[in-house]
Amino acid sequence: MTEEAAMGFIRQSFCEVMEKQVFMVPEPCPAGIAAEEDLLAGTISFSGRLIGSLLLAMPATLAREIAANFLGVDADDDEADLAAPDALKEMLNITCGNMLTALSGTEAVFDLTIPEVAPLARERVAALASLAETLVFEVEGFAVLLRADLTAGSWTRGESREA
Amino acid sequence: MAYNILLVDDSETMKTVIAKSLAMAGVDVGTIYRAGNGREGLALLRESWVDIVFADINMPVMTGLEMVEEMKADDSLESIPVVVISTEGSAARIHQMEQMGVNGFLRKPFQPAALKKIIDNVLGGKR
Repeated sequence: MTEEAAMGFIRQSFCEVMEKQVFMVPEPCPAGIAAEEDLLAGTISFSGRLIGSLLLAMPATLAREIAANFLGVDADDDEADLAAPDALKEMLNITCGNMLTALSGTEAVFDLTIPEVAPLARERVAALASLAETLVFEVEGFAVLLRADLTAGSWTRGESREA
Repeated sequence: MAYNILLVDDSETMKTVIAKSLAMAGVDVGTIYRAGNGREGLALLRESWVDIVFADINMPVMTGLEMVEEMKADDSLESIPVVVISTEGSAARIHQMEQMGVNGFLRKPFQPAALKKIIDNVLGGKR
């Protein structure tokens, strides 16, 4: 599998999860984004054939809209506001599971950590968005960053769904 | 008759999604109990009548699979059906869960109809 193909699987996993889980369609945003606000960033680590982490960052407003979709309430509902970080964690968790299966097939076993959420300052948002390995999407008019980092293993080696 | 259901997940959002999906799918639900990890789930199981458990795997304090292990070692809990709802997509892990006695598996994201189908499969004929 080439790195480009791996990025394609990661992109596809996120888009499928967003569409199936919260009925939102991410559009690729290759030109990068203007960092107008801090984002809420979720991170999860995985270990198995590949070891690394996945970061998903979005404005709190979008996280609230996703929470509202999850819960079936209005986006300005207090319940959606409270659930926004939790909704981001859940989207990250589901995306990570789907991404690992897409990349490694159903025979590979992975362990995932519990996702964590923290603010991502706008200076870091711009820097992160400018990196080639960071996938940038537009969702409902908001910028979303998705980035997978490997600390062991390789996208381009070993078993893959293409093998 | 209505089913009493235990939801074990550290995400309040996901527990609400499952509860709403059960309603959307037309499942006749009695009481929904909620636990934030396997340890809390076991405590609720020991004090409540539960027909089926829906559990996540990856939780703090006690994972879903650790909870299943304790259930299977406890005569009073071992017959309660457990369905794992997870992002897990590994055939090997699913096989491991089946060996442990997990009765069903549902992968996120899921549709409400899938929940209904798995309840029918697991509890079909019990009521």
